[in-house]
Amino acid sequence: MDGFITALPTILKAMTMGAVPILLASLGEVFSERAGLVNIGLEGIMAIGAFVGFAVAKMTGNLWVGLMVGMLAGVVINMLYAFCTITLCADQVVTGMAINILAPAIALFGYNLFVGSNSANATGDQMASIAIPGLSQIPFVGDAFFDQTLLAYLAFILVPLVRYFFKHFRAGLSFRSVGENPHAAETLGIDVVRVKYIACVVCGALTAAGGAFLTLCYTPIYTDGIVMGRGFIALATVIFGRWSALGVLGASLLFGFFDGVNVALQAQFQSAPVMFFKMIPYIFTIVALIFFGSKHAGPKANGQPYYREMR
Amino acid sequence: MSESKHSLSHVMVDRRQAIGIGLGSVAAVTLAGCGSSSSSSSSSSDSSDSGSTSYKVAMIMSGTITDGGWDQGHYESLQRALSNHSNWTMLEPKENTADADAATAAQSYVDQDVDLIIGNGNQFASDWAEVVADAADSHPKVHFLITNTDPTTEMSDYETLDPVETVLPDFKQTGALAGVVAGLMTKTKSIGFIGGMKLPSTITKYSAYLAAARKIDSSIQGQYNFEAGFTDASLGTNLTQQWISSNNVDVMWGDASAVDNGARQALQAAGADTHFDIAQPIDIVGDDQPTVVTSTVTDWMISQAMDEIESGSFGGGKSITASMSNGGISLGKFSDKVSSDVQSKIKDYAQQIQDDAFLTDDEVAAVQNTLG
Repeated sequence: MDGFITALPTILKAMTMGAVPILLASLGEVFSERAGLVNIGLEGIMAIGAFVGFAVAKMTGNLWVGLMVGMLAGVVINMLYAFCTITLCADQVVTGMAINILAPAIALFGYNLFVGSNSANATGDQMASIAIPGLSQIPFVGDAFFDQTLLAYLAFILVPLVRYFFKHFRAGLSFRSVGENPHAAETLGIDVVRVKYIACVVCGALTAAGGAFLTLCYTPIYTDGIVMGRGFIALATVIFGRWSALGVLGASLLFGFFDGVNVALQAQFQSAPVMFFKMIPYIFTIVALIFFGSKHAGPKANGQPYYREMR
Repeated sequence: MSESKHSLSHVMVDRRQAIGIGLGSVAAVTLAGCGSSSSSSSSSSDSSDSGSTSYKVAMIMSGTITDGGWDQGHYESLQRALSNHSNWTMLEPKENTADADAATAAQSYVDQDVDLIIGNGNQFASDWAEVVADAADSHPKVHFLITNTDPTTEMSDYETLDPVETVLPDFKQTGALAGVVAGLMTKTKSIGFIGGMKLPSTITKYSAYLAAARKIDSSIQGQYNFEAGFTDASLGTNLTQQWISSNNVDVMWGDASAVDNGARQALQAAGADTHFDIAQPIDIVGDDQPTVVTSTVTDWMISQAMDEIESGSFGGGKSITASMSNGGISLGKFSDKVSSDVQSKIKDYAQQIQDDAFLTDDEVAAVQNTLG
């Protein structure tokens, strides 16, 4: 128990750091699924965001320019998904998988061009943490929650904004009606196709920001496979979080917590099989899906192609 | 009517979808392939010293030549070898080679009659048995050098080892060098190690590392993780943070490429003047690595392999040992955080390690027996 108390501040720090990329990607997915689009290509979009954010920040010397261009790259990649699923009405799952294959390959191609034999380009800059005076001194939670990068703070601030958007804005209600019954939404004068495309823009930007967090705030390098399944975890957190911003925040933090526990156990029980500890966050994900992944939950028209002429 | 329209449009969509997915997959594979042929120079030296025979060398790796660790170390070894073998030409290295593609990659070089094909790591030993057997018959001038591989245990299924040699670094020396540096640099008497994969070589390195540090100060405690993988830098950060806060670790040594980079982030956050890293297998000391105090450097003895091919003595499943005496193992530059007094002690200990007078096999085995 003493060991756990000693390790707790580091577990909580790992929790918040681990939660941010998942939170950003899952908030993007909330927009997408609220508009009826299940985008399982988050993993690929995060890879693009991670690489482009890293490379542009290195080239320009400005981390925020890197972040913005990374988000733009995420939008561009997600437009492929949007065109296939909205305009061509292709299967959303299959298209998402294609994005997951294509996007990391583009990122790797770009990385090899960017770094090539110039190893000086292999390491970039990193966003500094900002400690909030007073709050960051609170025992156990202070360092975890109030000594973060600005991008992490922005991610957490985004949660109430997204919640407010879906509850109180006409545009937010339009998103929800498109996800529930697009034909009824069309009869109310909502441009369903437009709403779906906007959802893809937001989803691409936020998901890529989650990827860029990995290379701009976590570690100043890009490696093939750096996303490490976080895109798929983000998909699970959307379901676990019941398609709401607050729920997604809770699920992301819970996943981050289990990931932190996994590392703490690896650190303290060195002779035990490490793979057993590594399974913990994923077992949690599977359990969450078993209990919360009901077919009947979520937007009713989720995952279904929209044929405007069909009645 | 509307139903039939719907089903018709569904068929159309499926076709488009199939074409789209197909094109997407082809593009992905093509891009990955193009990506692997990076901008590295296809030749670092023009062959053709007039009158001398010219040779070709190629390298196949699972990572990239700029990974800051394993594959970059191999690539730099190849560059050093080429710099004193002007009659050798390097073909474009194959980067990001998955296990499933390893045999095809090697075969493509066999078809080009490349004199020396280098596989960076023991994963290629299990992938190349058939390619080696075929090449021994059809392309007798093709030779294979596989690193970090023990031919007696890892190549027992090979039909022939005639065109093959391997390279095995002296892991005890590598670990001992890092151990004396850690032992002399730690103030908290607590040191850490992260390995990417639980291989016998990883365990030997760590055992020698801790045993050597304990020769400096018997109260030193070691923390380790042998299965951190090679890509998840955030794991390196979190693991090191945990050790710093719970076990007061102040010196780390890593054998896990990108994960080591994450560990260095945690050391830097804890204070680069009090928390130190020993890098490997390339020398990366510099201003951009404020925590790195020195590096244990491995040269993969490619130069010796080239000499053997030229003299016709290469092959037979021999294993070249990379050690301190032949330049295969060495310490890199020191940062200014290592005082001249400590540097001189390290040099004394390094000489003892080279002479095999510092650490016994029993002392290494004693640590090894305590590991899970």
